Amino acid sequence: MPRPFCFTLPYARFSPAHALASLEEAMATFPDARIARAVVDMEQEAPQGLDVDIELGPSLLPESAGEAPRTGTLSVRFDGQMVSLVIDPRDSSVVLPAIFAIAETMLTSVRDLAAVAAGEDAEEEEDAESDADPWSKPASFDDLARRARHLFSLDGRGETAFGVTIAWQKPVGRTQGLLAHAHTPRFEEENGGEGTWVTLESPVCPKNRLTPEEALRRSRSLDVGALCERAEHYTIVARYPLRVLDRARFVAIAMAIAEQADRLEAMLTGGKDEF
Amino acid sequence: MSNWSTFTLPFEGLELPRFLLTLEQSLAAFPGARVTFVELDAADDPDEPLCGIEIALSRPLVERHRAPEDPELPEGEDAPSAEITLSAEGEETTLAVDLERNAYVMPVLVKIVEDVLRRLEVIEEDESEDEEDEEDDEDEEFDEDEEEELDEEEDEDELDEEEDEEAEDEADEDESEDEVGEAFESLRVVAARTFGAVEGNETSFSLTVSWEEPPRKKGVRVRAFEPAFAAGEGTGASWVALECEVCPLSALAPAEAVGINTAADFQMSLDGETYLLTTSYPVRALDASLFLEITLALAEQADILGLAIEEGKLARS
Repeated sequence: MPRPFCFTLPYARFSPAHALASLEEAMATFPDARIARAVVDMEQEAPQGLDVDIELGPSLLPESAGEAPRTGTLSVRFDGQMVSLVIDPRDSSVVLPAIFAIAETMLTSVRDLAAVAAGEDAEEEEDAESDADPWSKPASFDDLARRARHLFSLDGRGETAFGVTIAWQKPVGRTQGLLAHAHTPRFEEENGGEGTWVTLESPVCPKNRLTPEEALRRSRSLDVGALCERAEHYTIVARYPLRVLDRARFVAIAMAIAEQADRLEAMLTGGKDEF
Repeated sequence: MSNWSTFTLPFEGLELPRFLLTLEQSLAAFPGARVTFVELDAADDPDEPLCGIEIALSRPLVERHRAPEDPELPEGEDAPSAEITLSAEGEETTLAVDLERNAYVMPVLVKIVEDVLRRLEVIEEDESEDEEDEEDDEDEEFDEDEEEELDEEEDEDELDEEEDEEAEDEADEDESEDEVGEAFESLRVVAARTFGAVEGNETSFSLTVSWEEPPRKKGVRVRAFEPAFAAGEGTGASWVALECEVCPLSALAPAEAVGINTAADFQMSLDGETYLLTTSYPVRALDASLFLEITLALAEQADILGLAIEEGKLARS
C-alpha cells in the first residue's frame, strides 16, 4: 500500500482553525471548489487530524469526467512533532490534479508567511500569482523547480538542476532526497528536437550492498525507473519529457521514485536512512 | 424536545475558520477546555451548511464555574464535554447551544460562548475586567439572548441529516476504469495503424518497428500495469510499460549494463536471462505522438545497443 503524500507545514503546533483558514484562503483561487465536509478529530493522541472533503466542479476536472462534481480529500495531521498536509494517493486520479493544485497554493502561502515571520527574505523573484489550472504543464524547467519548492523542502537549486527532500510520517518518520536535472536526450538531438526532458533520481545504497546483477534484477520489479551507478552509490533513475510532468504526474512520479528508493535503502541497509 | 439558545453571528456564510480561531482564542482563557471534534457538513445543501463542535472540559473547570443552584456533574463523569452548533441559512449565521445536552456544563459554556460573542462583537465588551464581578451580568446577557430562539425543530432535523454516497462513488470508479481502458485501446489502435499488425491480449500487445536502411526489426511489448504507489485507485491509475529486448545475459556483464544505465536515455533491467530496455508512463500521459516518439526511440536504442554488443563493441568482460 503506498504511503500518503505528505508535505510538511511550518506550524509549531496543530491548530485546526489555522489550517482550515489557510485552506479556505487557498481555495479562494479555485472558484469551482468548495468544502463539502470537514472533520476535526483531536480525541486521539496522535496523529490528530483535520480531514476536508473538497467538491470539485467541472472546470477542475478532466473533460472525460463529465459535468458531475467529484470529491477529493485533503488532510492535515499532527503526529506530536510535525504538522503535515496529507493527500491520500487512493483518491481517484480524476481529482488528484486539482487537489495537488489546492495543496500547492496552500503550502506556498503558508511557507511564505512562515518565512516572513521568521524574518527571512520573501521568496524569490516569482510572482505570487497562483496557478489555478491543475492541468497546466510546466512552461520550463525553472517552472518545475518553482512547483517543487512549493511542495517539498528544496535543498538546492541551479539553472538545470534542483534537489528536494521528501518526508513521510508513517509508519516511521523517514526522508529521502530526490535530484531533478534537465537534459535533452540523444534521440531528441539526433532528430533535431530540443525538447527538455527531466531526469529524476534518488539514491538507494552504497554499491557494496548489491551486485550489479542483483541491481538489474531488482530494476525489473520497479514500477518507475531503474537502478544505476552514481559514483559510489546505486540510485533509481527515471527520465520523462518535461511536458508530461503536469502537477499530479510530477508529484506522483517524484514520490514513487523516492518511495521505491527509500524502501530499498531500508531493506538493503538494515533500516538506515542516510539518503 | 430540546431547548435551544441561539445567537446570530455577523458572518457572511458559515465562516468556520474564523469562528474556530475565535473559539481557540477564547478557550485559551479556560485551562482544561479544548476543541476535540468538529464536523462540518455542507455536502447535501451547500446553501445551508451545518457544523457541530465538541469542546472537552475538565471536571475542575466545570466545577469552578458551577453556582450552588446549578446541577451537579454526575459522579464518575471525568471527561465532560459541551457541544455547540453553527449553521448558516440564507444570509443568517447562527450559533446554537442545546441547553439540555449541555445542562451539566452550562455555567462554563455560558462563559465561553459569551467570550466568543464578545470577540465577535455580537455583545458588548464589559467595562469591568474583574471576572467575578462580571458573572451576574454575563448570565443575564445569556438569558436575554435565549429569547431570540429560532425554530428548534428545524435545527434538530438538520442535525440528523446524513446521506450515503457510496453508489455514486462506485459509478465514478466504473467511468474511470472505462476511460483508462479506452486510453490503452487507443494506444493499440495507434500501434496497429503505424506499425502494422499487433499481437496481444487485454492488458498487453506487441508490435514490431522496422527500418529500411539498414534493414532491421525490433519488437516492442506494451504492457498495462497498476503501480504499487497507485494501488487502490483501481484501473483508473493504470500505467503502461514499454519493453524491448536487448540481448541475453551471457552477452553483456551486469557491471557493464549498470554502467550503461547511468548515461543512457532508457535503462536496462534483467528479466530471467534477458536484458530489457524499459520505460513506464501513466497511460493517460501518452498521447499518440509521445507514444510513437518513445516507442521508436526505445526500439532504436535497444537495437543499436544490441548490435554494439553483438559486434563485440560492448562484450561480456
